[in-house]
Parts: sequence; C-alpha cells; structure tokens
Amino acid sequence: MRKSGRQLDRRTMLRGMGTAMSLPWLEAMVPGGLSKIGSSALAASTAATTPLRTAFVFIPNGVDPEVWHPTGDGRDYELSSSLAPLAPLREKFSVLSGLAHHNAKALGDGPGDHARSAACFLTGAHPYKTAGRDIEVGVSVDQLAADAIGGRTHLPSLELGCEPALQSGNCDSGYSCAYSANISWRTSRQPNLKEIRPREVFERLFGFGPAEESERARARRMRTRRSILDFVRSDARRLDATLGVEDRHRMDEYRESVRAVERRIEMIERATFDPEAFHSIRPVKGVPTDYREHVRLMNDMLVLAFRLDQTRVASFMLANEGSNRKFPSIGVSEGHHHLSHHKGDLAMIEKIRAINHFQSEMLFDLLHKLDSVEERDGTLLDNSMILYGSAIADGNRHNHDDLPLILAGGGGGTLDPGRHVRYESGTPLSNLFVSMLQRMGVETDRFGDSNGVLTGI
Amino acid sequence: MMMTLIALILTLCLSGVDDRLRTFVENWCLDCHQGIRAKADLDLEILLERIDRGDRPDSLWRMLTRLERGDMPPPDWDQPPGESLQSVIEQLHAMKDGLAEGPSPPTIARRLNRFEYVNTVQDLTGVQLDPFESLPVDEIGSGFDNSGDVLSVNPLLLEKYLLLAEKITREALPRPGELSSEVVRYEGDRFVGSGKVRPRGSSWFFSSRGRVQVDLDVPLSGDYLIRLRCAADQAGPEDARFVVRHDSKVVGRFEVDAPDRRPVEFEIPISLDSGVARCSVSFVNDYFAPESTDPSERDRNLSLDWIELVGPIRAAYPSSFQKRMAALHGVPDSPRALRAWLGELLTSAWRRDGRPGELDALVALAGQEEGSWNQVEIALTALLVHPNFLFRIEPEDFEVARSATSSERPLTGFEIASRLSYFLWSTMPDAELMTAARDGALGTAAGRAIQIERMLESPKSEALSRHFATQWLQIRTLDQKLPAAELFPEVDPELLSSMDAETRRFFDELVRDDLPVDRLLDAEWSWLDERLAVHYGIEGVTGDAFRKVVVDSPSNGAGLLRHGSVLLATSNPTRTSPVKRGKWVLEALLDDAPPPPPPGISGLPEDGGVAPDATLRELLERHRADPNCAACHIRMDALGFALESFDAVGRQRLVDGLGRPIDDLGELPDGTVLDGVSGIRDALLKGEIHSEFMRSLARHLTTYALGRGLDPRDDAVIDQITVSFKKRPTIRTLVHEIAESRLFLFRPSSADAMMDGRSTE
Repeated sequence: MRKSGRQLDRRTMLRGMGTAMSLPWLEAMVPGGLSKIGSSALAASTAATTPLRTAFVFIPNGVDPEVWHPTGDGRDYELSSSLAPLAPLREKFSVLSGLAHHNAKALGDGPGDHARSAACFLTGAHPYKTAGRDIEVGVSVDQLAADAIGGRTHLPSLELGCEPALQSGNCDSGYSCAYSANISWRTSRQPNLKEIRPREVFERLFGFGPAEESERARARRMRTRRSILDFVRSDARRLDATLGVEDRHRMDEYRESVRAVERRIEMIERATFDPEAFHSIRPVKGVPTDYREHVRLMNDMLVLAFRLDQTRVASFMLANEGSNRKFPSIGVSEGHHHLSHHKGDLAMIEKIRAINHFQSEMLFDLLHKLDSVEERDGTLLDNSMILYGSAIADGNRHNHDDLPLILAGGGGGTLDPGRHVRYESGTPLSNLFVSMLQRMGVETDRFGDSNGVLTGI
Repeated sequence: MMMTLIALILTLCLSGVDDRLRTFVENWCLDCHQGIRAKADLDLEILLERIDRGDRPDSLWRMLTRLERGDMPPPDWDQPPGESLQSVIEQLHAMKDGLAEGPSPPTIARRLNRFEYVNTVQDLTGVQLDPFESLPVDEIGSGFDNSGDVLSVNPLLLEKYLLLAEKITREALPRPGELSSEVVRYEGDRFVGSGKVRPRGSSWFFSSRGRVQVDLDVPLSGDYLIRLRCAADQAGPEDARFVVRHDSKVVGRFEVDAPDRRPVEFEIPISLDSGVARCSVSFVNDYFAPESTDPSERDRNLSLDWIELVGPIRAAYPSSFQKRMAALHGVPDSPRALRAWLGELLTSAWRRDGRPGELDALVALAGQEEGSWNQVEIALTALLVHPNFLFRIEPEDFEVARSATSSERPLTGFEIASRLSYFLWSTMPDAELMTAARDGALGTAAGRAIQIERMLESPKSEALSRHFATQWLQIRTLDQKLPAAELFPEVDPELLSSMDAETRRFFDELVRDDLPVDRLLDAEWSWLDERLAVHYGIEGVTGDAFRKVVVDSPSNGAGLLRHGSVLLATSNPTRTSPVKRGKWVLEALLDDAPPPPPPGISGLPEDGGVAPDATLRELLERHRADPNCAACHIRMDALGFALESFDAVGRQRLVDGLGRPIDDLGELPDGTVLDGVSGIRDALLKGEIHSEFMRSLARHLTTYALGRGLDPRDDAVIDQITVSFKKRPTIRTLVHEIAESRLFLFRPSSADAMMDGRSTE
C-alpha cells in the first residue's frame, strides 16, 4: 500500500492538505514512508488487536435543523443539504436523531444556554452557575475513558480547539468563560486546557523539546528533567505543612501536574521512534489566519496522534460555544452567534446554512483522512468512534432536544454505520456515552443523566 | 475554650431569618422572585433557606441595594408601608455588619499570570518572551486575570513551564566558544517584484506602490534578525514608509528617516522555522506631484538594496545575565562561587531569602551534573518550575490560627515586597525593594511610602494602566472587537491599538502627575496619534507619536467617556448599544452590576432583530414597557442614551446610521435628566453618585491589589480607604491607602486552619 519514497515539502503539504487528498496521505509525507519511523511507534497497531480510538468533535451555536436532519430512516435515508459534503463517506457514519441533553436546560438557572450546552456536552451534567469562582460541572466522558485506557499511550488524551479561552470572567449571562471554552473536564471542577496551535500539538506529540537534538542529548535531557521534577515535587510536599487549606489544594494540583509530566517523560524514554522522521510535516508556528486551514491542520494532528497511537482519546472544539466568528471565505461577514439568532430572517438563515455546510466539509476532511490510513483490520476510521455535534439543537431556539449528532467510524467492528437512526424524542445523549464507554473498556452502566444504554448504534 | 466562645459569637451573628424579614419577603417579593422563573435569577425562597443555614450570599446585598434605592418593588407595583421597609433595611444592614465583623478571607496562592511570568523571567534572566505566544490565556476571576481563585495549574501548563524553563536557561547560559550568528545576504537577483517595481543594478526600485518578495532559507528553527537596507527619494509631507511581511503577516513598519538616497539599515527580530521563509517589502505611501515647482518635491520613491538573514542567534558568551552574575560572584567554576550563584538565584527566583537547608538541596541537585554551566543550568531550570517561583505563596501561621486574640498575621517584609511589586509593576521585586524587605524598612509605614513613591516614579508602573486600567474599563479584549467591515471599513487593528494606547496613556498621566481622579470623567484633553486624531476628526496631529491634545472646550470635557476604546468596546459590531454602554457605566464606574436578565430573555443579544424603521430608542422603550425589564433598564438605558452622540466606533455624530437626528437625553429613575455626555459627567461628579464612583474605583483597585474578590467582611476597610481617598482623590493616594490597609499587610487565617486549631486542643 505504501507509495514510493517521494517526500513532499512542508509547504506543499500545507497547501495541498484537505483538497481531497489522495490515499495514504501520511505515507507520502514521511521520508521513506512510515516504515522508517520504526516499528515500535506502530507497535500498538500491529499488536494482537488494533486499538479503538475515540474522538468528540464539537460545533457551537446549534444548527438550522430544517436542512440539517436527514429525511427517511435506516439505510435508505436521504442525506440533507447541510450534510451533503459527507456523501462520499455515507457508509462510514450514522446520523442520530432524537437524543437530548436535559442538563443543558436552564432548570431554574435562567439564561446562559451557550455556556450550559458546552459544559454539558461531554459531561451530561448541569453546570453550577457562577462567573469564575467555584466552577463545577462533572467529569467528561473522554476523561473517564482516558482514566481507563489513557495509561497505555503517550498522552492519556488530547484536547484540541481553534479558539483560545475568552478573556473575560463572565461569558454568558453569569456563567464563567471556562464553561463556554471547554468540553473536556478532567475533574468536575477543572477543565482540560485545550491546544489551539497546530505546531504545539505537534511538539507535544513528538518533540517535547527542541527538535534538532541528538538521541544522546535527548536522553540526557530526559534524565535531567526527572531530577528536576523529583526535586520540585518533594519541595511541594514539604510546603504543604505550612499552608492553609485553599493553598494546599493548589499544591495538590501542582503535584498532580508534575506526576503527569513525569509519566510522559517515561513514555518518551520508552519510545524508540525518531522524531526527526516527522520533521517534514511539522506545521508552521502560530495560528493560521485562514480558519479552514486551521481546522485542517488540527484534523491532521488528531489523525497523526491516532495513527501513531500517541493517544486513543481526543476532543476537538471547532469553536468555542457562543463563538461569533466570521467566515469570510464562504461569504459570511457577520458573526456566527449573531446569525444564529436569526428570528426567521431568510438572509441570516442562508448564512447559518452556509456555516453548517462548511462544518460538514471540515468533518469530511477529518473522516476522510482517518479513512485514508490503512490498518490491519480496515482503516483507521473503521477502528474509531467519532462523535460530532452540538448540545444546542436550533441556534435560534436554544433547545437541547433532538440534537444534531453524527456517530462516525466502525468502532472496531462494534458499530453499524451508514444509517439514519431515530430515537424516541428526549432519549438522553448520556445513554450513548454509556455505550461508547463500554466499548472503550470502561465498566459502567451509567453516565450523567443516562437511563440505560443506547441500542441500535 | 476560646474557640467555643468564638463559635458562639459567630452563631449569634449568623442567626437565622427574623419573622419580619420573612413576612416582608412573602408579602412584597415572592410574586416575582420565586421558583424556576424567578426574576433577576433571584429565588428568594431559596435565599431565605440559605440565610437560615447561616449563609450570607452576595445576592442579599444586591437585594439591600435595590430596597434602599427604591427600585424594588417596581414603582408600578403595590408598595410596602414605609416603616416595615425601613425595618427590613435595618435588619439587612445588621446582618451585613455582623458578617463584616469576621476576618477577611485570605488570598489563595497566586500563580504568576502570563504577563507576570514573562516580566519576572526578563528581570531574573534578561531573556525576553512573548506573553501571547508563550503561554495560554489565564482565567479571569472577579474581573481580573491575577485572581488567586482561578489561577490554577494543570499538566499541560506545567509542561509548558518546563519547556519554557529549558528555553530560558539555554538562552541565558551560552557556553564559551559557541558559534556566533551567521549572516546571509540576499541581493536583487533573488528578489521577485510585483507592482511598480523594477531592478536597478543589484537593488530594486519602487517608483510607486509595489512589492518585492524573497524566499529566505532558514537552516534551523530559532531566533533571527531580518536586516534590510533601503533608501528613498523624499517628497511631500512625510518620509517614505514601507512594510515588511513574513508569510503575509506584518512584522515591521518603517519610515526612511533620511535625506534623498542615503541608505538606512533596519532590523526585525523574528522567530523562524527551518525551511523557507517568504518575506516581502511593500512601499506604502507613494507621492507624486509632477506640477510641483520644486523638482525635489515631485516624486517620492523607495529603493531596496539587500535583505540579510542573521542567525540563528545564539547569545554569545557571556550573556548579559552571565555578566551581571559574574560581576557579583565571579565565574561559577569553584564550589564557593557556584554556591554564591545559586544562593543569589534562589533568593531572586523565590523572592525571599533561603531558609536552612534550601540552598544545600539546590547545590546537591546541581551536583548531579558535570561542568559548572551545566550545574547552573539544572539549578536555574529547577527554580523556574518550582512552586515558590510559579506561585506567590504566603504560608499559614498555625500559631496565629490557633490563638484567640488574632485571626491574622502580619506579612513578612519579603511578602510585602512581592505584593507591592506585582501590584504596581506586574513583576518581581527589584534589588532595592528586596533590600528594603531584608533590612526591615518595609515593616514601617514610612519605609513603605518611600518605596511606593519610587515604584510609581519608575516606568515599570505603566503595568498599572496596561493590566489594571484596561481590565477595570473592560477594554482588554478591544483587539477582538473589530466592528463590521462593511459599515466601518476604516477601523482596522492598528486603529484599535491606538485607541487602547489612548486610554492607557491618559491613565498613566493621571498616575504620573498625581491628578485628581475626577479628570477621568471631565478631562478636556486626551492622548492621540495621527491615526486616532483623523478618526475623531481632530486636526493638527501628525505622525505616530502620541501626544496630549485638547479635544474639547473646558466645559465639555468628558475624559474616558469619549474614549474610542470604551465606546467601541461597549457597542455591537454594527451599531451602538445603549444597553451595553449603560451597563458599562454601572459596572466599571459605579461597581453596581445589574443582575442578568430574567429567564426567557436571551442575555444581551448581539443585535436582536432590529426592525429597520424603529429607532433604537423606540425599540428599547417598547422593551422597557415590560415591567420585567424596566427595573434595571430604566437606569442602564438612560445612561446609554446619553452617550448616543458617539457612534459604534467612538466618533461624535449628529445623526444615526439611518440619518435621523441623535437624541441623547436620558432620564434616571429619580427624574434626573442626563443631557448627553456632559449630563452623565455632571451626574457622576456630584453627590451620592460621585461617592459611588470613588468607591467603585477603590474597590476595583483593591480587588486587583489583593488578587481576590471582595466580600462584606472587607467593607469596613474599603470604607476607611475611601474616606482618605476622597480627601485627596488621586490614584497615588489610593495606592498608598490600599497598600497601608489591613487587607494588604496582613494574611488572615483560612477557615480550615481554625478547624485544625480546634482539633488539636
């Protein structure tokens, strides 16, 4: 399946990426093909069973449900216009209708649907209304999975986004910005910081240090790092005895962070592949000015992380909830959030549809890349579960039932994609999370507001 | 025993709901404030329960303010009898006073935010980092990004700190004999032109607008200098200007400030990735006046001789850091000198003297490496990821916590030095401040006053405008608020940055010249560059330098109220928002944030379906006819309307977007009519509202200084601070008052330490 050792330079790749890339895109990128990377990096995928990878992709501000939801059920359904870009892969995903996030509703807390929906999206929990202090929602589904299987990979999980956390304490009607800018919650009170710069994701995946470094120098650096971390961790423990309770809590976070970094160093020391091999596909620094380019690069990083089994769990926010991003490249010069409150204005609705269409193109880019990677048992997409969607259904109505959701991938043979599945209205989305967690080897029968598992996926 | 007594007193202070309060609430409030559709998000049934449990949530004080002001119950509802209202107000005051008796809450150990981190690193090692590129955005708590409540740490952040520490030490500690930077020159034959450009010998000539592009080969990722040489034929009112881009991003703007044809060199520091870096030079201000009688005044042109790529830059040995340290302690090639280096670094990085054993441990860590520079490197890296560096930790004093006579301990000199330094400079204490801490000067009011004055004199105190003023005035995210390009094509990121600079320089001036804070509201001058002056329609300002400019007649001065930064930040992308502007006046100037809108109303809509024929005022008035909205919007909208004579990008105007004349009258609930911007100004400068303004500034600056939100237990101190501040109403006075207050100089025990104390008795 491997192509000849043709090496594209980084720029060629950046330009060409995503314009319907031909088959195994990664193979052609790496000098001499992937085999040169060394077998151990691919060990996991050549192990007895190919691992299951799971990603959650979030879109903000809901959609225009009129043209988003397909018509017809089962295999013979008709793809909607918003989802048209996904047509070439229709056998690889299912559209799920009827699922709801009860806990994203106000439940007496007043306005703030945007903050609530992002906070609830992967936690199934109802966030505590506060503008900065005492944020609390729940542990997210990706982190439960990471707790169970994250120890087997370099990174327990990977959090990606395209927009930084917002610089303001109150992002939505009295809710902390942390709620709108994060979907992955490590603990019920601590969101996982997401990476928005493709280059930094890359460094996290491969480098974790300066790129041009000999193996010996790297080994030395890792040793030194361990001494340093050991030193600061034991000091932090000593400090504890002198601190008040809130400060002790801070030191707990600090020590936990040190341990996580130590664990990463261990994984790197065990890995034997040569990061140099990836040099040619390293993205440029900073945040690309073109949004489409940005999303594609983040997709690349996600696929790369899965392909090389650097992590098996990821989440990706195409934008923060309530995002007011403009889309000049598709002729949308007003903000997304502003447009979502169209109140029936046809011109505005058209633009929302254009944005939804664009989002489907971005999802197609991701799925297509995953599907272009051949693994032992089918493609990488076949060995993945990719959940895509929003916890607001209609951006104009702020409702949280009948959510727009797509479940893509074969789940390593455990999913039956290619259908439109309609559930009884109000079925908790959390039921799907239970089903997904079970597939990832987490022994649980409940999550968030679940009342069972989701059958028929 | 004493603890039991304290517990008893606490119980008495925090007693439950009096029947009078409950009856009052049931009779006059619960109709609206109950259940899941409770107005203003305030369910008083729940509030009463919480009071019964001994809680004193902030919503209680919000309720008190509304009752005192007569906003509630709303004017068109039945009103409670005067005496029962009065008695409830007194009761609520008693609760507040009871709570205020308690000790203030402590500030949670604050992690350095990204600006503090970058400044501190620079002071410590001389290494410069870009705060925006190096570290993620910090969370905001209580309106500021230096709040201990939310400055937490997580694995990703720690990883970044570790990588940064390695980068910093690498740069600070070059080894003797390391290569210096290479220089590669690119001349005309490597350039590609577009527009009115052509090669002339080995250089390129720009006869009019045009661009020259070159691909630089970058051997290794790292820091470089792009150096270029240009000359100009000068003509017309300004010098020739050009812009340098890297991958379409502007990395430099220059003026050829030289007579005709004299070559000038320019340098741009830049961080590049290995591979090809595409750079371009564009001539941006062509001038052509063929009719001019003076031939030398007819044509402005530019020429580009060459571009050099210098780097990667490895600070040659010795770096400024090594020189400074070696001047103090010699080269660290002996155990003694090494120990002196590490001792010095430990003290600076941890912002206090070492304690027994600490330096020994650090020396032992260094001993794991071979070679003196490697030893300094590992120690410095460890110091930079150490909790004592990353956090500003003020330890608990368990003796004090257990003692019955005091619930707080005085801060040490070093702790005060850090508090002052991060408050006024957003960076670590300098050597003089550390000395003042060490010799006890910071233990006396006189010693502190001297240091505060010195610190405010230093240019480093511009950190106050950059970090405090921009967050207080809610213009920190101005650069993300570009208005709709179709409507305001002239507003670009450069203009936004000029607006930001205007407000900061104005605030700097107030601090520097110790001017009364009323000037914030009535100054007839501002600080402008040409770009901003043109935007405002003010003539006679040329060039990029900011200068003090009189913008209004003395009687029309409106200070901040007419700053583009504020007016734009409180507008929607397409139009003004009287609601947002009114809310801004309430929040920033009066510290009286209106509650969020009731359920079913979506926040403040970006631009909720404005019918094209109705004026904004008509729409808002229609909306206020709903009593649900009226209670808050009467105030907010009145303030916002009075600012209507400024458009969404801060320009004065006489007509709105559809050509209708502006009506900038607003009427407050008490009948006061605000006649335009000077009306607001006059209202803010007199009587009770003026006191609220002073108090608001005091509260905001105290919040920033302490790094935590205020609560009623702080009120007594805030009152004291405000009294002195009013006597001599300048920012400097306020800084001194805050720094001399109990809140700033003492650390209260945390509640849990008291528990610990009890359990050991």
